[in-house]
Amino acid sequence: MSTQLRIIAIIVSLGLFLSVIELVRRRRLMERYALLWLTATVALTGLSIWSGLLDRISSAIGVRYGTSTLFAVAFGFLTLMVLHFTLVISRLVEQNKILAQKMALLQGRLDRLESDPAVAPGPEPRADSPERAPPAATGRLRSGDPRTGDAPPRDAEQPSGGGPPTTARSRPTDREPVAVGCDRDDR
Amino acid sequence: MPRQLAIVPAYNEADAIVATVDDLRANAPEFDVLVVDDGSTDDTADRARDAGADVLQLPFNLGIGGAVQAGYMYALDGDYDIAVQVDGDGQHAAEEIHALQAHADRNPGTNMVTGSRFMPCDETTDRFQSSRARRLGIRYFGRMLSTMTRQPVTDPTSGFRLCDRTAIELFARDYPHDYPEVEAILMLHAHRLTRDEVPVAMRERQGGASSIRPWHAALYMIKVTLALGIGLLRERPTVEPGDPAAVSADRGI
Repeated sequence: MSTQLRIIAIIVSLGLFLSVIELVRRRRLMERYALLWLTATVALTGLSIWSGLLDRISSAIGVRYGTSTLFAVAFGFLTLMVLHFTLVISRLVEQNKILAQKMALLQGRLDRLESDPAVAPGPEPRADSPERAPPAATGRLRSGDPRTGDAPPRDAEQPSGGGPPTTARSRPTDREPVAVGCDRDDR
Repeated sequence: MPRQLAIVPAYNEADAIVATVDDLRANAPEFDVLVVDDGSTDDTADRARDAGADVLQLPFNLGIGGAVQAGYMYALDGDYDIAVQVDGDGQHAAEEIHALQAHADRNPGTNMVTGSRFMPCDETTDRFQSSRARRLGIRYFGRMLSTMTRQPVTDPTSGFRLCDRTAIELFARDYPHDYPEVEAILMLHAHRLTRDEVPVAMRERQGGASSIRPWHAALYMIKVTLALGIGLLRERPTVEPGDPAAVSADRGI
């Protein structure tokens, strides 16, 4: 490897190494993703500086030009990194999906709670609540009764113990607009 | 009386969703109806709500697998014993649910009953006929799955399926992503759950466009073949009835 090329290789890989350190220092790059970068840049810097090592590796694996070995090492690291990033993306996609699903489930539960006068704590019951109260009262309440001021029941929208299972579920006939629940809540 | 839920995944099905929900409420009234709106850009969710369904609104489009899984998560949360999956486009007739249900009742211990368009059946004459290329693809997957699971699979892409509690628990925790119907069959098999098929008639879709477009068909075949092949190599723990199913959802960093 010519001296000019060596100098360029050292500058580039050292610059990359320092940039990665700086990015981690500024918390722009997480340590866990910087590790592969640091390993790669340290290896490349090392091979650029000690070209004797590079030449020995080259002849050992039958490569005539040391520069090619440097390229091969860099290429190997790039492949590893891209694979690593696809792994990370796959996991993010999965986690994103779970978040979306849980969010939709919670939103649905919140809408039902807010639209159900028998469950949502609030002032005067609405005109239609007397006929709605019995199913909720017979419903299976796992963690407390709203009428006694306990913790809000987690499963109040899923009664199964009392009457037919559908009686207390929110139906369009008794579904109130979400805004009603929000109005009642003096946030 | 068991708690029963109809899961209706829908993506931009505003034209068909009301008819689907009405059909379910009229012809399968013992089922609660849950429409999973998969990030639709039209008013699918509002129309479904007006028609009397409970609606889960996903914040963005997850694809059929994510939407259906959200439905199974809802079924698990709500302690449902039975969940039937019905397409939001009106292909599946609600009264056919009773055929699935009757088969499940006759064969206790069957974890999933699928409605098949391609089983011999005399009483139905208006059988749904799909395009030739699609039938070819379906037969290809059917044969592949039949070999893998050592059990006849005549309609691997059918999204009309009735699941018991064990299958609900499995699907709520782990459900395939991209082309879930086909892969779910292999998943059930890998978890030692049982499945069966009954002949049903399906209607033409009443609106919207099928998620499988012709020019995607080839890619679809390759992807699913790959998914099935890798699925064979995958080690999954066996789920006993009552056990929590294998967890993929809670995997951390």
